[in-house]
Amino acid sequence: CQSYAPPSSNTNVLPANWSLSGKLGYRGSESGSATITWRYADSNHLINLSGPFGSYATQIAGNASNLSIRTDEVLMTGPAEIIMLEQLGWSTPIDAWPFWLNGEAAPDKPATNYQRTSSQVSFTQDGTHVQLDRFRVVDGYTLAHRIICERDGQRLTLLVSSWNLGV
Amino acid sequence: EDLNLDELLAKHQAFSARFEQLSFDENGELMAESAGTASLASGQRLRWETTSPWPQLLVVNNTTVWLYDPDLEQASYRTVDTTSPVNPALLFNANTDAIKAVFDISEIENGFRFTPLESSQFSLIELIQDGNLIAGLNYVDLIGQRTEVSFFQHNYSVPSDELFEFVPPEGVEVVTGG
Repeated sequence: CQSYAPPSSNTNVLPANWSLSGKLGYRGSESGSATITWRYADSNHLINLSGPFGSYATQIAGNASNLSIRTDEVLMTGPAEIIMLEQLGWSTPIDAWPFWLNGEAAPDKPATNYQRTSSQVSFTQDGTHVQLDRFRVVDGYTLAHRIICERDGQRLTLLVSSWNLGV
Repeated sequence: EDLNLDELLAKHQAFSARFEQLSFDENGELMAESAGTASLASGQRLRWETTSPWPQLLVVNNTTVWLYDPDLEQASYRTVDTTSPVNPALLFNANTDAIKAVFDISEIENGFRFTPLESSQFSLIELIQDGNLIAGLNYVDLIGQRTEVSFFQHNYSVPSDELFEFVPPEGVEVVTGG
């Protein structure tokens, strides 16, 4: 399929509400992959994860300051990165992702070595190296369909199979 | 006259079939669709090869569970947890008595429902029967996500042993699975 150059400037800002579905690969103290749906509306996340045969069934809801994670046994609420690490075996700055998915650094922290080539955007922010590629146009937006985030030996790979904008 | 559960399971000790799979979130909204080929053989061996939308290979033999994602260049493995109740596809290998030790069995309109007696990764599993075929497998995980698998093009020749072995391809990172 045809791939597009990443957006040249920030005119391509994702709408406030969007959703995506695809596959999330995680490598760290725990490793594996899961089907993912991610709905972002009114600055709140609702993420469903499910691994093969009902394994890794997880729902993540809320935002960085107050996140709840529901897995088979437990519903845990608290500061995002702490409970993510405990419940999932990996963690990520969840509120930065709506900016990262747009190919931008989050506004609240410095970002370094921002690079843009004809097929890829990458930068480092808050200790995470973010790389976006496989850009395709969806409803007029040029959006990445693969996002790789690496930090302290942990690697998250989000493969997007479908975007749904302005939900 | 349809086969009873024991006869149905006995018939499906070793077979392969194409599958189509739909996963729904707890509100019943479609989360994902996938398709591929499943193979099962005695000794609790399972090969679940998803071909769309993503390639993914799950191989379970009596010692190891391999999950290989070519597009993530990653193969994770963990040892089979013999204490944990059967994962649904391995249900086929059991007989009613073995299943009764782990699940409560009830008949439903088009098959059988298995409700785990103790905590497992499912709240229920269903085997859908069509005459003397296992036509489907449904399961609900513990946060209410429901997966519906339908089988077709059943092939009852015994799948070859190599299907249930997995050797990670060159250059693929092998990680220990969660």
